[in-house]
Amino acid sequence: MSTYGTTRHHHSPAANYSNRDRVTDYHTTLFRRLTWDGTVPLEIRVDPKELPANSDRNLECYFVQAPRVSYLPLLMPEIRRFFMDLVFDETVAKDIKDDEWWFETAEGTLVKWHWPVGLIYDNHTISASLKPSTSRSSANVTPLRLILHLASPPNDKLLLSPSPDACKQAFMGQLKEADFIRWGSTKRMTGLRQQDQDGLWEGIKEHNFDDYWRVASKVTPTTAPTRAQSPAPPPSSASMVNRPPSADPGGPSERDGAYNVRSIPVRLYLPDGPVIQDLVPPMADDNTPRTLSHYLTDHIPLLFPAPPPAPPPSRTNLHPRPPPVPRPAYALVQGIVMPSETEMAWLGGCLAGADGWVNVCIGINSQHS
Amino acid sequence: MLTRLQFDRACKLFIQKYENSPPSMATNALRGWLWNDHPSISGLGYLSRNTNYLSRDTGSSVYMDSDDDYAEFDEAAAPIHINTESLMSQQYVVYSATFQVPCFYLTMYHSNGASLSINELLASTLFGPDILREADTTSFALTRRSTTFPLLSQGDHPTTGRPCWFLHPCETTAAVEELLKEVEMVENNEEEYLLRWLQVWFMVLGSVVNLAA
Repeated sequence: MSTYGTTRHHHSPAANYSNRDRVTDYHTTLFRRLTWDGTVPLEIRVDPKELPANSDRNLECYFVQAPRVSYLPLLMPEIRRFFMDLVFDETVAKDIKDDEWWFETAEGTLVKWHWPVGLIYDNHTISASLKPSTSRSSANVTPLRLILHLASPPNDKLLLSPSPDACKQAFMGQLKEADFIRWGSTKRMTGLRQQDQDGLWEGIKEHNFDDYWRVASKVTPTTAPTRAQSPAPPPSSASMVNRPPSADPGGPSERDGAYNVRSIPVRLYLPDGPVIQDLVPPMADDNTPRTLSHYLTDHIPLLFPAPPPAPPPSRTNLHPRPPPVPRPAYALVQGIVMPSETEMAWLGGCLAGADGWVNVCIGINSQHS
Repeated sequence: MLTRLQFDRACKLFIQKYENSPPSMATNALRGWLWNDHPSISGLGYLSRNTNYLSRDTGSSVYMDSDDDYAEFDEAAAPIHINTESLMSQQYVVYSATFQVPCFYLTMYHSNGASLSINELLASTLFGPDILREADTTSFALTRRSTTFPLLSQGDHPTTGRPCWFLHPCETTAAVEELLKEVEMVENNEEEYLLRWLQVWFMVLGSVVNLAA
């Protein structure tokens, strides 16, 4: 089993654990690592009508493989450097102020500064799913083409201040909201030392998994292999095996597990619609874990109809199965189509974004668009 | 806390109660609200109204910001210390899905359509002059010291998606719940309770912003 925070340390793992440190199981770590390492291709070009005189048109496009968990304001320095240093004519570049720069997709949708890059990408994928396209290939990952405008941001449609500070505040706000949704209070987040809170954003800025999760593991619920009913032994690890439960009140416990939250922080993005957010308790009414299927049928039953019951058994068919249900739509989380039996609590523990939120993007299947 | 259904019900009862009341100091804050639904998705309804404020020239450095446009659009060519520019505001009461309580969102524009900066917003008659006390301002938020969330910051309207300023609901909720304890409830009448909840909420909101413009 792997543990957090020790991959770069050479002293004994036990010495690193405070009461609030957790031993996170391999499975959860794997998915968190995959989420963290996820990237999407961006292709950025300046609106040709705004390209300053004497720009080097051979270099009109900036390509970047951006981390899903990052934000456009954090990518601005490298984007700015490319265009100012390499593309724009030197004398012209001096007069260009980048505080009025803003982005649009090639289809004319405004790009939000405070959305994580992965969400911007997936939201674009689902918007595109509405348009019939003969050349769209679902097998290839296509770059998200963005148009960079250099002036006159539409202030009535885009939040002001795309500064990294504004971005950090929005990010911290999302983390606190996620904390509130899970537990009804923000005390896990506010209980972190200021240095640790800042460390979360530093982890994003530097794109450092260990730095980010060193702090995040204190506030993010784990999906330990044990489940709701029976208290089972915690995941084994060298430092925990000899410690009796009473000596470690902060150790991995059911109390703080992903299946014990009040609600999972999740938002639903429709292809051309608003963002839907509602309470999502981890367990369904029948006390089984709430699945993606439950969640989607509850909120968008026309796109995710409830499976009809199986017909009664007959002489010719002793174990009839329910008839297959047409699937007009699919759900993406972190860019991956999710199976309908995925448990919401599991998503909350393993596939949430760095801001604590699970973003479910709904796309329309091509034969229906 | 209210469920979304309770919020919807409370808003509709509220509109009904005040839509025909004559204008008065007491009811100005409570009149003029309309209910809006999302065109295709249920459960995203909110209250809205349009109202006007004035910019308030305090003579302080608030106006010395880098927003060069401001001086040009100062239409009242009056003595410097009196500034009566009319500002247009769209106000919304939306349901906060995270905190499960109402939340106040707004936009405010100069008469030429330009958005206000945060300094201009704070200097308008929407807020009282003590709004800046014990608080730190950036270009994107106003935060009271030692609070978890900024008091005033930017966010997308949950139904329309348009960027707005909003007041963080946490403090309003705590005050509302305290006050509700003091008020005798007709326990078995949920409609009465919901209307009262929202009235108290508006009252608390009215202590932070000027709703009776």
